[in-house]
Amino acid sequence: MKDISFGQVYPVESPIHRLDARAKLIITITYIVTIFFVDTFVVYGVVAVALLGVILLSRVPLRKVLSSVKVIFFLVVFTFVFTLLFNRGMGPEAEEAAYGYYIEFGPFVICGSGLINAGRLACRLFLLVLGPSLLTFTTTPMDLTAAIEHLLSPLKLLRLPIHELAMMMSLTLRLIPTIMEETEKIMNAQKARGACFDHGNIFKRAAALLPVLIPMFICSLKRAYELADAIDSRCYHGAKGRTKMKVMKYRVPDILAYLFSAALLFAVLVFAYNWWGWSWVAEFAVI
Amino acid sequence: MSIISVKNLTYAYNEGLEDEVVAIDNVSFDVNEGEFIALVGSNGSGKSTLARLLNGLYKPTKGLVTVRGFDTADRAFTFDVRSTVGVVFQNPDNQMVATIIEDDIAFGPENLGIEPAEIDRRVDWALECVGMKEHRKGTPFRLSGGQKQRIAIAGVLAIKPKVLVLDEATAMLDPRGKKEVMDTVERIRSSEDMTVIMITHFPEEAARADRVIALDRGRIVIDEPSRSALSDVERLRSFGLDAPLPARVAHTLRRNGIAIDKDVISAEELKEALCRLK
Repeated sequence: MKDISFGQVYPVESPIHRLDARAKLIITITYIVTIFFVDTFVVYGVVAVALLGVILLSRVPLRKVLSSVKVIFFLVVFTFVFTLLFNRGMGPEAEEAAYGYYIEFGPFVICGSGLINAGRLACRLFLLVLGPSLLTFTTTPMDLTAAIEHLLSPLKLLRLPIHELAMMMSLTLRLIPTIMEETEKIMNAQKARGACFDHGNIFKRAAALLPVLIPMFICSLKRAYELADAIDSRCYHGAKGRTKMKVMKYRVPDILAYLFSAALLFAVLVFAYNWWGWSWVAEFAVI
Repeated sequence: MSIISVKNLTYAYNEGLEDEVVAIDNVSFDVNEGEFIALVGSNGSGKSTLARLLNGLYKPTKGLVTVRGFDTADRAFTFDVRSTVGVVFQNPDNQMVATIIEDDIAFGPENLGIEPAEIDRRVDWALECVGMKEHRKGTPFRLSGGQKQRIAIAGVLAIKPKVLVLDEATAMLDPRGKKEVMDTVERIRSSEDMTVIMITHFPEEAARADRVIALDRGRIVIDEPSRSALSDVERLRSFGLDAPLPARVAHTLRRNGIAIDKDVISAEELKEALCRLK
């Protein structure tokens, strides 16, 4: 629990870990956009192969990345089943002609187009989760915070307190483990005096937590005051005139990564819109 | 030359309200450059309030605190005051701002607007000073209390203050952590020629200082070289303070008719004094 500030970073050295956090963030967003332009299995396959390549390059075990899909597994199953059962495709005759089957039972239908659509949706959901989870496996929340601050900094012109938001976020990340430790201490102190947190129904358990929450709240406030004194003592005065030790600088791999993600987006767009009317592209569009 | 000057300083919490509490009551003293001062006093004597007055976290209710001639009450000088007087607080967990040690130490210099390369050098230097160089990329979470407090000291050192104020910086530490921090402070003091004001209620720590200032209910009751201040067991006791153990032993021996030097404050001196007895 103490390592919550590191999120779920898988601690290995890899070209992907070393990439600039800004690049990784933007590429992840581009990737999500890319996914929404994909509408055939073949192109999903292309994207999946590209993602697989990146995962291998990141040296995060494939199983670890795939396990992040567990969270949305039920969502995927639900959407798959519902899309399959309620999609009527092109109607009974056309479906029968195209795929050779059209099964109706009660309000439900199983047909070729429905199956294909449900499959595509499942692919989309899986790929949507895998990309961002790779980001969290290779980038610490601190780096992400710094990246967000940097990327949002143009908004400072509109007088939005971007630096302050980033500072709050990094202080929060810094203090979560400390506050958790403290909660544990308080709970243990209460347990030593006979409190019981794991018995009774949900209401009883929630009520038992109240005596933990109140001291925790007070402690956190005290801590906040002390922290504010310490920060003031160390000459903090907002973003004005402040420098940074770690200067974010794009290097060649970052630019290559940008190019790679742009190329993928471009390829997917070509498959989706077939601007030049290539016949082999049109054939892929069927599945 | 005096680097901090406190004149007729009074500080009251909740000024003008019915629950007004006078924490510092008409206090005056000067801190000379290079001095090592121990500020002692029992709980509620106003020690920590004084620490916060020295770098302008609190503004005086009455009187004047100047740091290198800058009035701490004047907002225009806040920056000069705070970059001259660095304060290390009691709880190391509550003064760290970043999850990575080097980021935490860089926080102060970053606020000063220093060049990135120079910040990097300062972080190295500050960690070297407290002997934690190998932890630069690590996190503070797994460190011991003493190590965390050394990181906190490094965080203040990186600002390159002229005066280091330690506000009961060892109070939460175990004996080993206390020793670690005290040795670190002494090393920095001799190598960097720094002025140190150490707030403590451990008499053994105060014995390391050159000068002892004792507070009692917001007033200065003792301001003397540490030897005469700490060897007077009776007087310290009257203010609710303990003398260092060697001084107490010497005092008891003297009372029982054994002729032992009056100004013993360290174990080493006690040993020598005992050996000189026939």
